[in-house]
Amino acid sequence: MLKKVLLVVMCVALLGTMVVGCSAPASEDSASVTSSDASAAVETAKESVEPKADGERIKIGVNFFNYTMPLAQDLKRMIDSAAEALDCDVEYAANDFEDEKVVTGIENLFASGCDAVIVCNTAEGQIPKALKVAEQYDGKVFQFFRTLNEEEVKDAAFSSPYYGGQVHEDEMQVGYNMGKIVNDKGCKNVGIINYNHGDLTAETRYEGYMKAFEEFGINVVAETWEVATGEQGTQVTENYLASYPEMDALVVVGGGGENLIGAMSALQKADKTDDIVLVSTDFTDTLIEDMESGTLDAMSGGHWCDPFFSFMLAYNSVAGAEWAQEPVEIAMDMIYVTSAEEAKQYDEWFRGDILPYTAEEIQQLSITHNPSLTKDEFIETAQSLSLQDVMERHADLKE
Amino acid sequence: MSKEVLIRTQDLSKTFGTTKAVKQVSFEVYKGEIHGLIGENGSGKSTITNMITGIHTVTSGEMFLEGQKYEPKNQLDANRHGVSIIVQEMNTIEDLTVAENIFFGNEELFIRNGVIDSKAMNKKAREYLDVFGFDKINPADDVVHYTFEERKMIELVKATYFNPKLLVVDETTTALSHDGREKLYELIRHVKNRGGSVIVISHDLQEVLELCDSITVLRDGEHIKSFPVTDEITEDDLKKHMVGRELSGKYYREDTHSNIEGEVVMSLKDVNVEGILSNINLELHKGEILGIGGLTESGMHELGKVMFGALENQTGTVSLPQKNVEIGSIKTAIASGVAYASKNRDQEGLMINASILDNVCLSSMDKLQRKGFISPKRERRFTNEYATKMNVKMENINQFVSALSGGNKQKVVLAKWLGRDSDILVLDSPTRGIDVMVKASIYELMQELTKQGKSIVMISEEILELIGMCDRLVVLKDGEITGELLREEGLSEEKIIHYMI
Amino acid sequence: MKNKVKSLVLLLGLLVATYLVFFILQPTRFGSAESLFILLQQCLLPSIAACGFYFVLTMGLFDFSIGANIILSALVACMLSVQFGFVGLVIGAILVGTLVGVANGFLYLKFKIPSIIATVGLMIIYECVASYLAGGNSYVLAEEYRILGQAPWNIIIAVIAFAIAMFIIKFTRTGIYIKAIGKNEPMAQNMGVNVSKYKVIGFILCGFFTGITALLTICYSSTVIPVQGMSSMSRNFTPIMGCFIGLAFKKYVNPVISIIIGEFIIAMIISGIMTNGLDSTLQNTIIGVILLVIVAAMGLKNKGKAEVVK
Repeated sequence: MLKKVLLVVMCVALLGTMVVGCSAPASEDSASVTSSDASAAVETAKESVEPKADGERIKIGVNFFNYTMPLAQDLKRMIDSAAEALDCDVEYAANDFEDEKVVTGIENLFASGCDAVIVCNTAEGQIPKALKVAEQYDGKVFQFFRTLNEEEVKDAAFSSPYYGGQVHEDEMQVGYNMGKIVNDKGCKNVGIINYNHGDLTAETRYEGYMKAFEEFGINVVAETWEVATGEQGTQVTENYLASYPEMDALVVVGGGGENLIGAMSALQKADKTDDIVLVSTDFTDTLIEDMESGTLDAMSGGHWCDPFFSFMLAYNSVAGAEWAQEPVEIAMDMIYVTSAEEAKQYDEWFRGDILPYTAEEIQQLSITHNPSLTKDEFIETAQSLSLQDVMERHADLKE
Repeated sequence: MSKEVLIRTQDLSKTFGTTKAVKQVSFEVYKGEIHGLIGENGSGKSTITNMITGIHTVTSGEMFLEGQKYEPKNQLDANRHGVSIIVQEMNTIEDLTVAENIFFGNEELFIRNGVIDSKAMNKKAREYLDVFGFDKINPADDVVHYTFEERKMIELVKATYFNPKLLVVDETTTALSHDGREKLYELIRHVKNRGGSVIVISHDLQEVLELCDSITVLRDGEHIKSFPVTDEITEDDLKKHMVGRELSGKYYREDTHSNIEGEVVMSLKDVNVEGILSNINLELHKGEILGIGGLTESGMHELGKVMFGALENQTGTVSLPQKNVEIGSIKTAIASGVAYASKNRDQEGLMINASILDNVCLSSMDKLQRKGFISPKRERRFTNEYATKMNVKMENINQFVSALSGGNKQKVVLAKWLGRDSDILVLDSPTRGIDVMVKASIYELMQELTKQGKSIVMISEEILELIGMCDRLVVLKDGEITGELLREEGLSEEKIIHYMI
Repeated sequence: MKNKVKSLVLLLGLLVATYLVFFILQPTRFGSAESLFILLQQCLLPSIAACGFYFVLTMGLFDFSIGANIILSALVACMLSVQFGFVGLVIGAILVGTLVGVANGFLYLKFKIPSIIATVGLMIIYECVASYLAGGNSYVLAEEYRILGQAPWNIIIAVIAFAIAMFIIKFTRTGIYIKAIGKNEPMAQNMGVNVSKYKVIGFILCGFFTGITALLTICYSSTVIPVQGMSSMSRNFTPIMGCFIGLAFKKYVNPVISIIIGEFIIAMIISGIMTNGLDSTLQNTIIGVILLVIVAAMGLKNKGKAEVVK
């Protein structure tokens, strides 16, 4: 009996959602109907998205995994302050890592009046779909934390008027820099733990590391991929410690942090935290403590200004910056922390009361407040972001 | 045997779906008597005793045990009332020990603080085993290590250690060796001597007449007659009651000619299987019914497997001179036209949880296929043809074989091989556990097949059957051939037994 | 008796053979006493879960939610440890694990869906519950609690778990009835065994042992991160495989012992492949092959012998 009731309920639910899903989206032809400054929109051979007219409020949408993880909180704080400084609107959507939700999230953002959406997609296939949606609403899509690797997708995006560009990490550079740090710390024999084959970030960063290791003559004694969970991290680390006594550095190339925590656990258990140099990417929640205890020796991360720049790029594009009408690609570096001291500095200068960019600095990065801003200047600002950079810029702001 | 009634049924009925298996049966069993329950397959014997022993629920009617209303909820409940049953199939649980099997359901006898006291349980089991003289069985061993017969002995202990008032023996004798059977008879008499009663279900009418004090005959779910056993009553009388009419026609063969002039179709040379068979040299002629007799452990059953290429650790050769083939595997055997019906029908002869269609078509798949495909229509036609030939009593060919009676199951096995058109049929205990009518039809079929030029090896522990059907009879003892008798010389029981033991 | 010794020898032989293969390939790196001890500790975790799974598998049922259970129980244990220390840690893990087992048992019973399908569905639910609870944060177990994941505590806990499992199998009514239901359910039913009750008990036991595994897991690696999309399936396989090995040798060797030996073999393979620098995807293939070899070897032993089944 119960099974039958359940069956009927499920059928109804299925039918219901089918009907809803098939209905046409609420297509409000977003008013790119501008009056006067239509001249700003250059008539080109291909269609282009009309920039916002003066006086109209700009609204940018942000689509990310969720807003509870620490990284997301940093990201949001930064973007919120930008929105405030620029006096524009921002709306957030969470996609919970789900494929469907990435695209529907973008759609919902456009539907609620966003002029552009910045998104951290989880798969490249989502971008063409997103562009179709953008076309419906006559808006633009920008990527953050992500790039496009597949030829076809990349070509299609870059030739689409609805694609605004991407801001991502230069993983090759990051890997290389980290590899160099390993060398600087005096290590000669490295064990590698990595994420899954086929994960672009993991593979590219790995290449960067290998380039550095080759250059500095560092020996890779062992490497294991597909290490995703905490136990696997612990297991592999334990095995390494037992099998390769000559190992003096352990690199956890990538993987979301769980495998790193597992590795740290193993090192602590075996009391080898001082003997082994441990480096990884994506700052842990307890960065300062981890570095002070000597468990972690260097990390790259803190790259949540990437979405900030994507946001700024989108803003500038919507506001009509000429150089932002064609897709812009920016590869940023990460923040490097190689000692407990630096960890403290990062905490102070990036996550203290004053964010990496003050309201004035943000305004200087927008054409509405700084009409003479050029593309090169914009990109340069993004690429020069580092711990040093912030400390210098804000030196006199701290008493 | 007192005149006091132990158990009485009153208009007892059982319906399975639309099938009325038992129709208002009323009969009585007195205290201290051995009561035989006979009838053809499907007459309802087992169903009635299943109701008595709590295995089946009662659809309508009542039962009275010692004058009190008796409605057992399950087998355990029946046991608690002093009623137990020993069934034909294997009813022990492999992964448990002997002791755990014996006391299954009654563990609280040995539970202290939630823990089972294995030592005490084993000790008690040992006591009971000793009473029966089963000293080779160790209560702490897992049952899986014991043979079928030994497991049946364990079931004997399980069913009687609590001195039941009523013991039901459901066709158990046929599966046992000579020794096992003796033990069972001993047990039955023991129960009677202690004032208990036994209901014996058996197809072996001779056994029933020897053992029982009175008999009840059932037919088609109805009670036909109950009467005490006297010296005048013969097997034929019983058969008459069971069937309801004179058993016309022949039962066994009536001729006395040994049909061994044909060419040699199968030849065994120097066949040895370590510990089981030694020095077997044997020939089978075309159109012959070759009987293999002996005690259960004489190696006769393994010999059947050897002929079918089913044993792998044998030396010596099994060949088919006519076809110039040596049999080394089952595949070769089947391809060369050898068929084999195992004694272990349910486990080795059939796919129990499959339909009649699947079973009958199984060995003839290569014949049925066209260009790699098998059409369902061909399968159906094929199955119907042979199932009809064998007169299988079924609802339809998609019926699961597990629902058929023993006799009909055997018919399905034979139908399978008939369809294959095998030239040589090795039949191991072909009529075991089968009622009179079906037996007769199988004997008839055997004769017909030999007339068609096929050859049959009949392995059987029923001496009468061997005497009745074989052209030549070879007796095995301890793995060796001890004697060979020809039909025309007269096959007598004494001579055969002489070679057997 | 003879067969018992033969089977044990076969199993130990496999163990030694696996060791030798990898030892010969990399004598300097593989197989030191220290690393073997580490491997032994590593294999304890799936062994405990496998013992729990054994109760379910014996009855012909399946439980694919083991992995999700580990994640959920470990997560809750970690969260509770913040407020309630060791007590929260231990009780949290075992309690949640057992509750999941209770849920599995009752839902299987109520909806009468085959256990494979039911537990896959439940796995998805447990994954979501864990994700929801964690809320995107990662929880790391404080260092002082991690000693349970180190020698001698992890071994002590494991031995206690094994003892409980063996005890239940051999000395309780539950053990007897679960075995009976597995081999001859109709008969058990006839003899008055409440089959449904014991099936639920089987799931509860599975959950209980999985809870213990979760406890050791969080102490061992100090974190678990909830996953979605059935990714927890990957945590199911090692325990399930160990359980199959246990089942293959059940006739002659105590199942708990063969489970442990089986898991140890698997742990050696994983480690051995790593020390040889081989691709880690290879390791799953090899484990699958070993499983097939073992089960086939057990089958072959019984084939071809003149089975005198009368």
